[in-house]
Amino acid sequence: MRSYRCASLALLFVISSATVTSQSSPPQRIISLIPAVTEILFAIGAGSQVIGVSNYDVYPPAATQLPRVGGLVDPAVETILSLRPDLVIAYETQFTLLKQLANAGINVSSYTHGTLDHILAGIRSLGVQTGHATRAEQVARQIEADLQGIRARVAGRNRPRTLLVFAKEPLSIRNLFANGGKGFHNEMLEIAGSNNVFADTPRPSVQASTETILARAPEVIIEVRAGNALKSTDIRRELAVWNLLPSLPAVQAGRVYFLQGTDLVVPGPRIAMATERLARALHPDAFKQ
Amino acid sequence: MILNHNTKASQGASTEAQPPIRWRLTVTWLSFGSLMILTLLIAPLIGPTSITFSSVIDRSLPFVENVDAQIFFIARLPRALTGALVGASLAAAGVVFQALLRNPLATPYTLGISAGSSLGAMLVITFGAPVLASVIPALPLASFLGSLMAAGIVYALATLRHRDLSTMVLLLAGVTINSFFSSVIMFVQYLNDFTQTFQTVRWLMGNLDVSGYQPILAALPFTLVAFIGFAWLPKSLNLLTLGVDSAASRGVDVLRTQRLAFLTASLATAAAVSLSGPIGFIGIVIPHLVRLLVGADHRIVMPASACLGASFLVACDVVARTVMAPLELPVGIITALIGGPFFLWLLVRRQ
Amino acid sequence: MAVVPQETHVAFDYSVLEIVLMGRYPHLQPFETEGPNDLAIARTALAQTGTAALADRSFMTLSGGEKQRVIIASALAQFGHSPVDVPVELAPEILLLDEPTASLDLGYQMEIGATLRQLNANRGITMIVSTHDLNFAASICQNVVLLRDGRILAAGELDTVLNPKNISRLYDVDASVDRHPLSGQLSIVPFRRQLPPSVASQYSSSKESM
Repeated sequence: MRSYRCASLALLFVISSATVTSQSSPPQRIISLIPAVTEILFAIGAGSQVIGVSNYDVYPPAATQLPRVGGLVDPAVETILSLRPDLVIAYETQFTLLKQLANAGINVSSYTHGTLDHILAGIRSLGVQTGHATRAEQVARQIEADLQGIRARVAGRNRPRTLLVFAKEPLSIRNLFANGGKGFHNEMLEIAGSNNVFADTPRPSVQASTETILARAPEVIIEVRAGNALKSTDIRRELAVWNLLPSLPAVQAGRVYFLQGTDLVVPGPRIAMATERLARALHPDAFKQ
Repeated sequence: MILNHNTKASQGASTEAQPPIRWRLTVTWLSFGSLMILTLLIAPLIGPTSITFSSVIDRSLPFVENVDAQIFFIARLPRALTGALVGASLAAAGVVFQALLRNPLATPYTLGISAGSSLGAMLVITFGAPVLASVIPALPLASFLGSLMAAGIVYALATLRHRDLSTMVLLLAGVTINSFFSSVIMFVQYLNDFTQTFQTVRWLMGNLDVSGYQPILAALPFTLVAFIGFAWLPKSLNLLTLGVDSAASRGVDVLRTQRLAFLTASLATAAAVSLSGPIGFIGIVIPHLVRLLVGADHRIVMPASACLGASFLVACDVVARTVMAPLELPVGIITALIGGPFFLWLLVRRQ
Repeated sequence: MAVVPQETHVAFDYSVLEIVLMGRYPHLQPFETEGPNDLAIARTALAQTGTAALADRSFMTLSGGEKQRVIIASALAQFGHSPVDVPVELAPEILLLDEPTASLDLGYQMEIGATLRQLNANRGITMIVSTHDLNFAASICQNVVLLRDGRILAAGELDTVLNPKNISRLYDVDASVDRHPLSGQLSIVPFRRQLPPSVASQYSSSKESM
């Protein structure tokens, strides 16, 4: 059932991109405005076909050497045009950009972030589009296997109620953004062997007030940050802030963790790696060899 | 106009007739003061999670395990106290700024203080503050310093040419600082990534959820100093309304009064905005509403505004927390939704 | 010394009584509020300016003349005697009025003039009025000081100082100064502008008619 869904999603993806002109050979000059897509392209062996990336791309290192063309809110149309791409992959919501490029006769492809299935479907369809279908299939299968492996490792264990925090005010728990019940982070938490405290909130992110956190009483708190900006002393200070709420089971058990890295927030080929990092925090004894 | 002008009754006994001010002051403190206390007592009991007061004060359960008590003392009570502090500060500062600028449309943010505060906060959100972040939370500190800087610039501009504080130049300088800082803020925001943008937008909406007493204690000294200064202003502000010359002829040191007014109101606003972010409409709606109820005498308007501002913000926060539970709306939205239409009504009423 | 400015625009909605009571502030301690004595003085001041009926009205809603009288009442309250009248010799108060009738129509001008004359006579208050309106000055002042470019042109009793020669030196106009047949006051009517020499030469050919 799942693979059927993947295949149909992949087909949809391919169709949406083939609307402008039909090409016989795969694109050789690809611009990607989406960091996840960039990572996928490099992972499936299409890295040499990429000629431009977004301002927010940091992985793989090879991508950082490429020209930058803006991001979600400020794509640099002139730069894109000047690079003379034969395929531009942008966010589904960048209507204006997609239209502009289509009018200029450039193949465009749109992409939406979504669930883990989306990622896998995206990998497969990009493989087809760029002429690396075999490698893409390998990458996707590897991710599926890795995720399955994590599932197996933590199977049967107690699933703690987990609060996943994306952002909060430094040295305080104000203006806190937590993971909601929708989106790939939710699935990651589930695979890694835990229950999201906000699983019942049908939104990708939740602004949690002090009262809400107290009421939901998470047993594990994982703070997730995209960059690598914080050093260990800063991390210790940020973790200590949670002592403001001593009634939380997570604080009482000392189970507050801080994870940094773009793999945690980019829904791309490193997703299994990121899920394993979460699983190691949630079930450290499952990973002792 | 219940508490307003003198009634015919007190005109009877001519030699012993009290001027209206004394009983009006008493009634004001009693009524507005009790309103504030009542609001503060009730607010922490209301929220998206139902708690019972008996569990809150249940001593048999250790505090770390008593979720109801935790919610009451860590989440809600500090929030109510913050609301009272910020509401009182902004309302009182609004009264003072309106008197200083002799303009009922002035707000605590007219002279650029909130813009300076926002800029300080934006800089910390975007660039971080490794040096400061060791002991004191950088964000409130930066926003406090930002507001002081804005106030300092405006004051310097207003006293540049004239020995006296020219209210016209003050106003122009404030408007200029507002727009200049706004463009710098926009530039800094442009450099933000996704998460930082979220945080920026969220901070600008205002937030009373301080989850502890530290932030309140940090702001309290400045607020107290400001309010002590406020106590000296009402009579002078009354006299200043009739004009600078006539005030001077009645013993008002005009320059000193203007300086005191500017300093105390700026300090109160700076402390409030760095504690909770910029919350709008309180500084302009409350003074107007209070004047409608009690007249224009600053000796009555100031304490009444402070108490009503506190009650109003705490009440708005209760609404913000419960109207779309479990979602908690930013309190600034509620103050705007109530304040905006009220202000329109005021405008229409004046015609 | 109390001041009555030319115009008073209040930004907030004070009542007339509140404004007059403000005259009592200089006599109060920093946190003291007005007492029964202050209220009595305020009411007397209102009565003496004929504004007692306006006590509970909002100041903003008054006419120009009424406003000026209230401000004068406020200044009187500042002098602060008990309601019993005091002999003229013991009343050293000075009232400074800056262009008191500048923005008032004729009716209000006469109203203010009458009030000031009355206060001067009954309470012996010395008044120093600055004005451009020579007729108004003639209606209330006993002494006049003519100022031009910051220098005193002439000073002395009204009848002596206000003559056509001084008026012409003051305002560069030719004016007639007569005693009004009905009121007995000096009446000053300008009838010709004195042109500067450079301009006058252009019109040397045409005749002036009176």
